[in-house]
Order: sequence, then C-alpha cells, then structure tokens
Amino acid sequence: MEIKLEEISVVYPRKEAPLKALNKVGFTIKTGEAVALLGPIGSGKSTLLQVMAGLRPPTSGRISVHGQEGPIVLSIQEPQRGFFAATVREEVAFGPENLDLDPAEIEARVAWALTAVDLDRDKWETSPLQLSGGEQRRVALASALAMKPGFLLLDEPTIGLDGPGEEALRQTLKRIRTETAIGLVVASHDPDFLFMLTERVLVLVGGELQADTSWGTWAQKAAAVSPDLELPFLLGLLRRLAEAGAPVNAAPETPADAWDELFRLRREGEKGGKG
Amino acid sequence: MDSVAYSPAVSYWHSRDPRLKLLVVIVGATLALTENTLGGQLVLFLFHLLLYFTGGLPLGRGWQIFKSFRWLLLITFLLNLWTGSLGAATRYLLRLLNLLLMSSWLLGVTESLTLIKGLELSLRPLRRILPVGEIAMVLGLTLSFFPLLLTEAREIMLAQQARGVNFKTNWVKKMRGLLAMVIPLFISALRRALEIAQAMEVRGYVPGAPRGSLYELAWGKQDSIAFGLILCFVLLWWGAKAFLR
Repeated sequence: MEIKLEEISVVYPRKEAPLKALNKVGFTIKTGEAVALLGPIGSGKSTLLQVMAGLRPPTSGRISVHGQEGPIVLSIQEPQRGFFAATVREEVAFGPENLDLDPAEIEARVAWALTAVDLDRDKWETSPLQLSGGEQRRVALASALAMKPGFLLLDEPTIGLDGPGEEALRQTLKRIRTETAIGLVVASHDPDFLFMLTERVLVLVGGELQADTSWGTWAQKAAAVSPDLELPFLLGLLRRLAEAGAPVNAAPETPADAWDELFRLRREGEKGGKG
Repeated sequence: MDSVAYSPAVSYWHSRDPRLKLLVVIVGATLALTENTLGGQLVLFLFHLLLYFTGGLPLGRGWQIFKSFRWLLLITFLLNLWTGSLGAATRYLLRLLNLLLMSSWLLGVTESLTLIKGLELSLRPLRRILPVGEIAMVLGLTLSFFPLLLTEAREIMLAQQARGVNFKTNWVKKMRGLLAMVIPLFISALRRALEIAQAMEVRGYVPGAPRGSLYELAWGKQDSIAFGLILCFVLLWWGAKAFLR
C-alpha cells in the first residue's frame, strides 16, 4: 500500500490574510515504513496528517492511495478528549463498527487491540473517563489499531505521557510493526522518541517540506534548515564530539549505530591512554 | 435523578430484551392513559407494582419517585378534587403514578445504551423515512455527555473558587459566581462537542452509512414467554372490560 502526495497546498481562509498551512508538499510513503514528521509549532504537521487521512481536502494538489490493506487512520492530539462511549470496549469498538463488520469480528478486534496495548482486562468494562491518563492513551491507541489500519498517523502521541508511558507506547508500536503490515507516520516534538521508532525523516518548516531524508543525513543538515529543531540526544552528542575534533562518524542512521560509535570512541580512548 | 437511574441487579426483567420492555411500557402507558375507571387504574397500579418488584428495584427508589414529583402529584390531585370528585382525583393520581412507575421501572432495569439499541432495532422498519441510526447515535451521545459536563462543571467550579469566586454567600454573589461558571462551561461543552465530532470522524464515522455493532440483541425463549404473558394480560384486560360493560 502506498500514499502519494503531489504538490499539496492547503490555504486557510482568513479575514486579514489567507494562511498558507502547506505549500506544494510532495512525497510518497509505503507500508512498512516508519516516518518521523518534524517541524516547529505551526509548521503544518497536523494539517498534513489530516490531508493524508482524507479528513481535509487540499486546496490544490493531488493525493492518491494505491492498494487497500486497511484504512488510513489518524490518532489526533490528546485523543482521550474525544471519548464518549460508556465502556472501554465500546469506545474501541466504535471504529470497527463504522467499518460495518460482523459482531464476532468486532469483538475479536477489540480484544486483539486492547491486548496489543497491554490494558488490564479488568478495565475493559469500566468507563474510559475513569482511567488514568496513561491508560486513556492506550485505549485511544487501541481504538485506532482496532480498525486494522494500513497506515497509522499519530499526532503528538507522547504529550502527557511520563517516561514509562512513552516507553510502553514505543514498544507497542514497534511490536505492531513487526506483527502487521502497517505504515507509521508520527508527528512529535520529541526527537528521541522519533529516533528510536522511525527510519525516515520529513521536516516541515512554514508549510514547506524542507527535508525528506534519513536520520544520519538529517543530523548533518539540521542546523542549516532550522535552528529551532532539536536533534535526538545521541545524534546531538556525536555531533558535538565531532565538532570538538573527536574521530567519530557524526551521522549514524540508527540508535544502535550511534551507541556503537560511542563505544568505539571509548575503546579507542582507552587504547590511546595506554599507548 | 435516582428514580430514573439504571439500577444494576440480577432480575427477571434485567435480562429481558429491551424491545420487549419497550413494548411492555407502550402497552402499560396506553392502558394507563385510556383507562377511565378507578378500579381499572388500581388494577394497573398493582400490575406495575408487580413489574417493579420482579425487576428487583429497591423500595427507596419508589419513594424517590414520589418525593421528586410530590408537587405535580399534589396539584393534580387538588385540581381534580376541586373540579370533580374524590374518585376522579384518585383516578388521576393513580394514572400519573402508573406512568411514573412504568418509566422508572424501564430505566431501572435497562441500561441506557441497551435501551437505545432496542429503540433503534424496533424502529428499523421505518429506516426508509427516518434516520433511525443517527437518532440512536444522537441519543447515545447526549446521554454520555451528561457525566462529561458534570465533571467539567466541577473542575471549572474549583478553578473559579481558586480565583476567589464565591458560590456560597449571598445570592448576588452567587449569581455572579454562576455566571463565572456558566460561560466557561458553555464554551467547554461546545469545544468538547467539536472534539468528539473529530474523534468520530477520524475513526470513520459517516452519518447514514451502514454500521456494524459490537452487541447483537438476541431475542430468547424467555422473551417470547414474557411476550405471551403480556399478550394474555392485554386480552384478559379487554375481556374483563367487555364483560363488565
């Protein structure tokens, strides 16, 4: 499955001056990819996700979807504010119900999704409003997963989560990626979360696509594109070391490569100390 | 509110199909509204009491109905006493009580969402002329909005109290406090409505499109038996009426 965007522009009509939220954005993503969507506040990330999910028609440009492994599902910012069902199970069932499935299939999907996000079974019949913040986010993720999306678009999924909550979310998403054919697009202000989850980086600044690249390349050009965008901690550290003259590759593509680089530097440092 | 809230329990009526219970209420209410003799209303009252207690509803709930509607009951009684006789006044009082008892019974033994599901399925034959699914969805959303608004109201109240709004002293201050309460509540209700609409949209809700359902209502043997009993009651009722006339 593949989503292709060509010259997508979105203009919000405003009294004073029309606001250009997206300006000729174009890229293609495929199932199996995990894409980070970076950009300062107001750069058009949410608008782009809404366009991709088919919820907002672009002012101009073309979006085409090939293949039909599953729907494109957007999990909005603070999704728990949209809860309305009486029980967790009913909340999660809402999406599959909209797909007009059989009761047995809906039931099975609800159970699968709630198990996938690791929500205690004794909470399935309680009101989603009575759960803790972290549990509510799990329910929200489950309600998106229960639709068996071909693409899952997440808008700021880590806001309001603590460390363990963030870790659990990352593990769940990683597991879902290995278990099902799914494409992920994650917009977030948390570069570390994104670095550990994704391989490809899309960067929006002022509604324009400034970069469509890998983490390694992004580490090298981030400072030139926008000084507001923070690098993941590991990449920033390697960059600083390289700038200080340390013999490191400052552009690893994955967290594992970055760690390897740091360990290599330490080994060489020890050797150098002895020699 | 206690007299119309769902009362969780295990009873004969709790486990019946909501469509059956809706039918019982329609039959009961029709009889209560059309019956013009004191004796008939009394028999209906006994019938409703029977329903009430076989539904495992607590006595206190019955008293709650009486208490919450005491002014309506009293005024109806006095007005009819003034314009008619003691018999007529009692008849009207019983009629009102019958209707109240009936609705309290229905809401007590049926969860609201199950009830809506039942309503939706009962109205399904009309779906060509009525947007049945949407009506049920709106009813369900309205019901789930109440607890949300209550929580929100409590939070706003705390926030305003923290900023020195007084909800407790004299009525001028109370009114001002109320204003500080109502405006944010109204805005937050609107915002919440938009958020829920968005949440529904991202999960593929399209008004009018065919939808599946997590729960299927299953009409069981017990429901058919109960249906038969209700039918017998109505036939007996008509028989007795014809005989007494």
